[in-house]
Amino acid sequence: MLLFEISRFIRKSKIRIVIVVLLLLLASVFSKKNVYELLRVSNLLPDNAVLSVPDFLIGILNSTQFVMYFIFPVLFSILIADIITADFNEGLINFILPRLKNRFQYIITKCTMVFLMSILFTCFVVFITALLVAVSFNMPFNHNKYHYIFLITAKSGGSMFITYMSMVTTFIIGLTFIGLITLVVSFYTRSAGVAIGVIIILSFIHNAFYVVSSDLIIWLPFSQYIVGLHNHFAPYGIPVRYFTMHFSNIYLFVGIALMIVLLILKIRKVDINNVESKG
Amino acid sequence: MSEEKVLIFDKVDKIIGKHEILNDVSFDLKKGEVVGIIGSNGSGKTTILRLASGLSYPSKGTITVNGKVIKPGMVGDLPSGVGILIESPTFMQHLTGFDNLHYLAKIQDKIHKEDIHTALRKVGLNPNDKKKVREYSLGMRQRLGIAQAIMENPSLILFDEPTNGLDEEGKKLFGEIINEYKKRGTGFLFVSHSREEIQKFCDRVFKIEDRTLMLHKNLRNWFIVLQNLEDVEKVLQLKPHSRISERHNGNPVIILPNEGKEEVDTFFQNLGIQYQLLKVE
Repeated sequence: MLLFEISRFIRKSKIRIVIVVLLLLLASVFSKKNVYELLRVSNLLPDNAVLSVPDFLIGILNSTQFVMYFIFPVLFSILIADIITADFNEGLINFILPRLKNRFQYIITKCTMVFLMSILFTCFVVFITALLVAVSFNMPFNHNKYHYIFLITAKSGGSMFITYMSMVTTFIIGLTFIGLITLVVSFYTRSAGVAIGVIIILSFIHNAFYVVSSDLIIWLPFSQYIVGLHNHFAPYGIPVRYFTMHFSNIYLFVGIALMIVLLILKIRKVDINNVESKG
Repeated sequence: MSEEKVLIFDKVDKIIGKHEILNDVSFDLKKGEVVGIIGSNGSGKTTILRLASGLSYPSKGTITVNGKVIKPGMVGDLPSGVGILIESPTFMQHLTGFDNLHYLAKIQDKIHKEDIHTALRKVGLNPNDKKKVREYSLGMRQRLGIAQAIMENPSLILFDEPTNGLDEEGKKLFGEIINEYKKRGTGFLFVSHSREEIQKFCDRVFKIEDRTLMLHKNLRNWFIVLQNLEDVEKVLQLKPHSRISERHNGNPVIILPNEGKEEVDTFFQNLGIQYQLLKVE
């Protein structure tokens, strides 16, 4: 069924994918200035220092407020919010389910789609938009690195490659979790629009907690996929002792499992009907 | 027709919200048999198809499809070998008819492009037609819906208002498909609000009344050869809805509409006149 889902998604969402990529491109352009400013106000950039590609890439994946709390979750939810509800609204569910062994297979395929989309989205962010912006603005690939993640990783004797891989992996898993939250809300409310709305509200809640510097932010979902926000990178990260990558990994995996369970509970017995019917 | 049952409803109740849709519904469908269910709008006909296809589960009772009991279980069990056309078929509007079926075939990945071509030809659609589904007429969509239901050679086919939107040629092709698949042992379950539309295809017809299913005698048009015009007059007096047909070998023929076999036999025996069954439609 995965092949059917992938081909159908690409066919159906071509325009949406293009719009999301364009918005990501804009976000990358915005992030260039944002990352620079963030390092400058943190007194990490000497005068007239040039931002390098590694700094920029690391910076994007750790641009907490606007990019990681708002742009990425919202764009990702727009991309995948209707992958279940569209089947119901378009009536295709009547053709899909009788071709499957069980309903669990349907939900697992949708979850796999979310995971694949999060990988695709990460590729868009890291390899297409960010690198395109970096090349367009003539950023040097090999240059002094100023981002605090480089500094702290070097100071603690850690490998930058492993840190970077961990950042990308956490980003993918975090996006998967955000995508599954979107799916759960859209499936339970039978509305992709409501699901995107919930993600936007969640983004505002994250930003509000961030602005007032509340430690409670460590319990919010979008904080888990920002590696630079963790205690290991304090004082630039949140100085709460147990807010480690280990904490976030457990949070994300438990969250993902919970979302899958919620989806299965819903699909297991629901009367498949059009979008207005009650399950 | 084999005695092997492809579908069994055993004392099935269906309650949605506070509304009881079906109550104590029991029937079965054998291999190669065509069963029809008639009922008014909102009587629960489509719910029976949804239950048989696993799109819905019974509130009480059991449903068995191809030997497998269909219940939510741990993972939401679904029947295998079922083709379905339910309500007005909706497809991916921006794709051609063939592309739609090709995408759907990828779910099970057990048939080839040639099988899709064959299914489309059987319903009278051109597999190479580049027209998008959004440009299809109601009848073409219905034909496409029938093609998607039969293309994977399921052992049980469920049709909701199968002749809806079909022209005479479409209905003829539909009848040919039923006959071909019946010979292969495929079981059919039709639901319709119109008895006339489906009874000619069905071996047995049920009617939904007061949320339950009752066997409705298979009502057909009986072409009866009588001995003389006096007998015809007698029949016409007692059965004012009967019609006179063309003579057969010089003998008068009368058509008795919507009768069961037992009723026909009893009627003529009581009347005490000689008759011969010519054909049933």
